[in-house]
Amino acid sequence: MRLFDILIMCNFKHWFRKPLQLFFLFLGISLATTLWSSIQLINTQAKKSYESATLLISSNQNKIIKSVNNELIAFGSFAKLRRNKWPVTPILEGGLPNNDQIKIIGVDPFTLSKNSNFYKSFFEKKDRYQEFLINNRLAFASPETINKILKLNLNLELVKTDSLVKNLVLVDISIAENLLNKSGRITRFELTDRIPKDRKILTEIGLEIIKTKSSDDLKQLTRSFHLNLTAFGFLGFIVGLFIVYSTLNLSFEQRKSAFTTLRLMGISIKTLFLSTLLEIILLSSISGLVGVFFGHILASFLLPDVASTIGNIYGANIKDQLVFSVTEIIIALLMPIFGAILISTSFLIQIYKSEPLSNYLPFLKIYFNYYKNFTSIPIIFILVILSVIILLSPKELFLSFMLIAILILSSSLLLPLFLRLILSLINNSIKFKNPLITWFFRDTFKQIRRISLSLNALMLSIAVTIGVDNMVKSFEETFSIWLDKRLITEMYVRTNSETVAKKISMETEKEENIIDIYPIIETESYFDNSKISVVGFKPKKIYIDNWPIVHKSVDMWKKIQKFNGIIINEQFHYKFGTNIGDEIQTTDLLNNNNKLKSVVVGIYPDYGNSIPQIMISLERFKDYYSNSFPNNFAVDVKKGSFNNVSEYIQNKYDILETDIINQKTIKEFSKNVFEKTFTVTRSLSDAMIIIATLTLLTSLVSLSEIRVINLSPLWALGITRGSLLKIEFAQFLLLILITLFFAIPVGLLICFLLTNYLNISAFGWKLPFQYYPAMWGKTLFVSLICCIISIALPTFLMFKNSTSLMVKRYKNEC
Amino acid sequence: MVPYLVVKKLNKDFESSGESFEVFKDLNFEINSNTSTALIGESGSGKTTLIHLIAGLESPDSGTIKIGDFDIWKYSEQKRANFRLNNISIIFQQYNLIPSLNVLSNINFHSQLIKNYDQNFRDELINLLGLSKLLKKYPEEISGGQQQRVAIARAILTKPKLLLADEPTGNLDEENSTKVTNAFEILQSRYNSTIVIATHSKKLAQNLNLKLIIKNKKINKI
Ligand SMILES: Nc1ncnc2c1ncn2[C@@H]1O[C@H](COP(=O)(O)OP(=O)(O)O)[C@@H](O)[C@H]1O
Ligand SMILES: [Mg+2]
Repeated sequence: MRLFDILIMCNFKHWFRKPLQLFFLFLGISLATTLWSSIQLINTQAKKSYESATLLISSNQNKIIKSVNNELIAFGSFAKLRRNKWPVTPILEGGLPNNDQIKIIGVDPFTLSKNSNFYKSFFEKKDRYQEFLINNRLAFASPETINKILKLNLNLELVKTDSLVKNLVLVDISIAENLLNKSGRITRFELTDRIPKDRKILTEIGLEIIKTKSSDDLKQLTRSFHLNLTAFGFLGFIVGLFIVYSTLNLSFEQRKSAFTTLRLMGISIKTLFLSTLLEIILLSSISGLVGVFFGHILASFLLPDVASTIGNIYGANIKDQLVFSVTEIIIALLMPIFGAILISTSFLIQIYKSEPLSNYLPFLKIYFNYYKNFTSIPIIFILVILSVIILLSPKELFLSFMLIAILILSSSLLLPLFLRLILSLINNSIKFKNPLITWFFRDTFKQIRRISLSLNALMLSIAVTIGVDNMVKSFEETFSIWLDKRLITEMYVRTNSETVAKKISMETEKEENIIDIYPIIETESYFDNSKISVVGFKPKKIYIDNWPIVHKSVDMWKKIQKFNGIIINEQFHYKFGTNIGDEIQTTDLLNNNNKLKSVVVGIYPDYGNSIPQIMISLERFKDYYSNSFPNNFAVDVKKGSFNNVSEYIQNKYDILETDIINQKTIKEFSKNVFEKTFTVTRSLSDAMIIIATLTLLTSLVSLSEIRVINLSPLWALGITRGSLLKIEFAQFLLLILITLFFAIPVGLLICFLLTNYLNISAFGWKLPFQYYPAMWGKTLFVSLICCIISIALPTFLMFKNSTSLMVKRYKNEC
Repeated sequence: MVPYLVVKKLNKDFESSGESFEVFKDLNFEINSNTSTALIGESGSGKTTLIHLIAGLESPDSGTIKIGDFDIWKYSEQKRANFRLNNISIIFQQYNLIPSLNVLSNINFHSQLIKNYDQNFRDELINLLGLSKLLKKYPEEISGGQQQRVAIARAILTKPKLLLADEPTGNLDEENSTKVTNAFEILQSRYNSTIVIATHSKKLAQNLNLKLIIKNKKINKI
């Protein structure tokens, strides 16, 4: 009981007396949580959506039919489509009502396409199809998933399989109807053959065809998008904690004497410790909850963008609506609670170690002694050594994050030192005639301590913004240039049939709208016991002119054409440490004797790909890998004749429209992804800068009383409040400008780590590092404006009613 | 003789926790130019308040305070501040040094600001008040008594027309008090300043030209 008395009498009383401090504490924690939880929400939601969209059951086509308004489709539509000779098969999918994690996908075994890769690999190879036709209680899932659903007593006959992703259960559509409580409903149709020309029926029953692009490349891109968002959210959270840190520690300082008194009254250390801990937990969870709430709002505000992006890529029906579970709220709350405890540790330790009569350093004392403190130098030194060690060791995702964390930590330790260095240079080297100017710079030196935490928050948020923006922009630009080069022809045709492939390669060259046609073939192989992909191509002029290359040896193309030269992608280069001039050997597991010895003559960028790849001339591909005829073609068509050629090939060779890829569309999609990434990161970084400037505002407001007392000697001499206001303002402006200047290299370093370390360790490719000074300038300008507003307000308020406070100081009672 | 400081019908109340508290009621007195005056009174009688009122730091409820031709409460804050800066020096009870400047800069500050800095006089004062070993230190690093002497040096160095001192020897021992008294005498005799000192010290008051005692919201000559 005593604990709660103390909690209410001492800990909470403080906040009642300083409501503004409490407000800022709340603001800090909730904003930090908002940022963090909104990103988490977007990520989980998006992941859920595209994980569910990756499995296309019926065909390898990339078109599906769904309802125009994203609703479930009535079963009657299925009959109507079939009657109109539409080659469709229904799919019903969704999360189990009492266990959202488990996803049920219901298929119709009778109408399933027998040509699809899925059918071939899943049913045909294992002879499961007949069984599935007869016994509709069969359910397929991975062993792990089966363990999960066993507990649910679903009355299914579970069959283990490794070909399904985690948490996915494949059942007959009638079973899915029951499991999901959606009888007579269909989520979407998949196409099993070519789409009929007459599409009127679709609009009549409120359906539409949409494209899906479940290509691996784009999946990787989305993953990188999420990783960047997560890294960004994390950085934002740290910045948010800076506000809380300054407020919380100020409140602790102000309470120290009260604590000493309580100790003298005989209240145990344990009680004080627990009451403070309890206070921190209570405050952070309440404000964290508010933050989660706003995070939810922010996420649903940003989600439509994200949803449409991902929807474009995967053709998934992402509902623009968030599903929010209690566990997610609790997980989201852990961040602010642990964050708040973390930043109060030093104070909590002080409580624990305190002697009842020990003389706490009063806050003012610390404030004045600060300029002699250089303890951060050895810490920075250790951090630098640590990062050098990491830089020299192999690139790993965890280490990359460590490196970024180290950068943040050491730059925030360095900033106050840097500010002090600059000001002491001014103080020691320039002699001003006007004593007020001398005082101005000396006092600015002392001001550093007062607002160094908020300057740090500001510096970090600007640095993070510059870093992330710069990275996304570099990525976007490089990527579109790369795509331009990489998608060497506008048209790309694929077929499963060797006869068709042969016909295409022999006949189409004569077609007047086709300039040239380049066969391509791809197969799997192994290198160093890892799976790699091998691409056979004709190293003709169009490749020589266009194919993007990051490193090349002399006469690279000649070596590929005439000798045993190959080129490898960056993923290969980083994963196996292979360099130009190295001789490598890949193994074809099917034919162990067939070993290829080649020399690496070039490295090409391969963004979006997840596996190491080599490219080799078609002739040598045939010798070493496979005799099959190339089944993919890059078709160089005359300008504006894409549709003509497409129709021609479709009709003549019976190739599905979906197997004729318009590379322009791919490019547009990818560009879209980047634009959206940019929009989302942009709005989040704006939020972060606002938070950081609020930190400035908070610390100025909470320290204004001390500051007024500090300036009163000047006022008493006869310097007007107006002049003091200007001086105060100029001081902050000076510190802010130095901070902004400092933020640029830190931001570029963050960008460097993201592009050169995080991306390589996570995805295996390096992003070229480019400079966008105009963009940094914009960020700096916006931050400057925000800062000016947030220093103007408290400075003005501080001097508006200050005479009584200034005078009070000279009276006896002070 | 022309009166330099003229206080007429001065009233001052304080508002504290809702209750009004009267410090001065219809206060009238004059002080001649180039004289020294002691303000004597019990603690809480209003010495500090009176000094603040004269210096233009705290406003009266009614009445006038004239310093020379300058009716100090008739003008804007800006003008008042400017007048204070150029004509008045104050030695505060709480010393009131500038925390971010060292002792030497604190001593120089005011006189440099109004451009009547006199290096020889400064050295004289530093020697007289025994401050030469403290010059590089910061206010928070020296004792209360030392801070008080720094504040005195700063005020005297400006050679003000009017020096207001609030218990300037309050924290000083006998020896240092004598030094301070000497410094005041130099200011009055050499630079023709008018000096007003609020003090408890009989010894300090003894040597001054005029003794005023504050009692029951009024002021009287002894
Ligand atoms: N700002 C103020 N608010 C309320 N009362 C005040 C204030 N300043 C001074 N007083 C009161 O006015 C009286 C005179 O104070 P002061 O001038 O400091 O006396 P002295 O300097 O003679 O000790 C005291 O009773 C004091 O409590
Ligand atoms: Mg007093």
